[in-house]
Amino acid sequence: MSGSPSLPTFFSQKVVVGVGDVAVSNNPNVVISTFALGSCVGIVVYDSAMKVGGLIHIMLPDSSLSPDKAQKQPAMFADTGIPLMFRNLMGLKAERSRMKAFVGGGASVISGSDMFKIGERNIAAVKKIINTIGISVVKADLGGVNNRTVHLNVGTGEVSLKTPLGNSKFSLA
Amino acid sequence: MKITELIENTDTLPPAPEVLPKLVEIMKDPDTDSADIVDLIQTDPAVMAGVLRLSNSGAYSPTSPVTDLNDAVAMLGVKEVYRIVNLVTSGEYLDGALPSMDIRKGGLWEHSLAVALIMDIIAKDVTELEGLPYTLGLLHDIGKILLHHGCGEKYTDVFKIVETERMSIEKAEDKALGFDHAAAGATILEQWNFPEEVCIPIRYQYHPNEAPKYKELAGAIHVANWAAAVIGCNDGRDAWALEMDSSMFSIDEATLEMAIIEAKIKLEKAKKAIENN
Repeated sequence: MSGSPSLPTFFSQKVVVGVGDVAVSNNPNVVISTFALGSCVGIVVYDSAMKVGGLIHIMLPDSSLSPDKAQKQPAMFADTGIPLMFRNLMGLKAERSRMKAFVGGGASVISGSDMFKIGERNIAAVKKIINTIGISVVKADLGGVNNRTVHLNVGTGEVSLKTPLGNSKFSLA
Repeated sequence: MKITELIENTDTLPPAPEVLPKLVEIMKDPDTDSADIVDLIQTDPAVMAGVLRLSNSGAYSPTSPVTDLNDAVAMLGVKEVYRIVNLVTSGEYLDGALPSMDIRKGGLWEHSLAVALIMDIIAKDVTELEGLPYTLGLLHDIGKILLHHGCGEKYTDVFKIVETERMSIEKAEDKALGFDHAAAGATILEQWNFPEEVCIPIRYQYHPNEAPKYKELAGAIHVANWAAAVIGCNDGRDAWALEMDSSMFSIDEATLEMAIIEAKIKLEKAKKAIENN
């Protein structure tokens, strides 16, 4: 069968996480991606023992802005979205002590009042909530003036990060 | 280089739109009725076809197919047909990729539509012309097309300045080229006979306080351009190289963030309807 695509390649599935959305998976053939992380913050979490991973694309720091919207789309806000992703990962048998996370995004304007620094406010909110839950962040790429695209290979824990200035790859396994 | 030289020397620019500037102009007249709108749209078969196509899309879901412009106006109303003409016209200009700025195909169009939807929410009380904020949003970055086609590789100098001197994109353009995309856009819109209500706010979108008129509209573009980036709609390298000044447009943080959420929902619906069309 040499030359045939391997089974994982053949069945490779792409899951795209939009702004304010979340996805978790234990399917080793799945690649979870999110595009256009600007001031939004993306969090990738992986448990290599169970081969379980998740990705969330947070848009705003605090759900008190609109509890109604937070109920309909909890992943839009850091304070409702991150606990939701954590619960969903636990539902797939991931364990907090084994979880490793990458945090990226939070681009910010060159200058402006706090109102326009949503990126910085998102970063602060995400750090606080991740610390409270107790997930180990092993890599971060935050701030700056560029958008980012992130992919997680659920089978391997490999993360690829793309920006207009270059691409990089690393592993959360 | 001057902007007028850039326009004269660039032979890849799309032709001037005929219908939209006239439509913006006649919408200023309170006596304009649906017959005037239909007569104007009928002068351009491409715009007419586009209006009928979008009228039949999932965005409006007519109970029976709309085959006639009069039916479209009767069913959707003058204001909605105005928005459709805006979409049809701007889509032709904005859909292409701008590789010199790292903007993918469809990226500028999506950004412009997001700005239009945010303008519709935050700027509705600063003008009596109901559709004007939407038009400003769709056309505010048209100068980027001009700079991409006219400057080509020289645009790389703009990014070098942004990244080494930590300067906003429009200031870096001014330093590298002698003008920014807002001024270039306003100049070509003037040549295309758009009224001053369109050209002035677009020219002053990065420094609204200097605008001789329509300061609030210029300030609204300043804010809406940033807000579109928050919902992931600001493609391109150094897209966040913006200098924001909250004194340029009066809005509080919670109102602005709710407008951003509302525009995001509207944008998703609009994109789905247009993509399925």
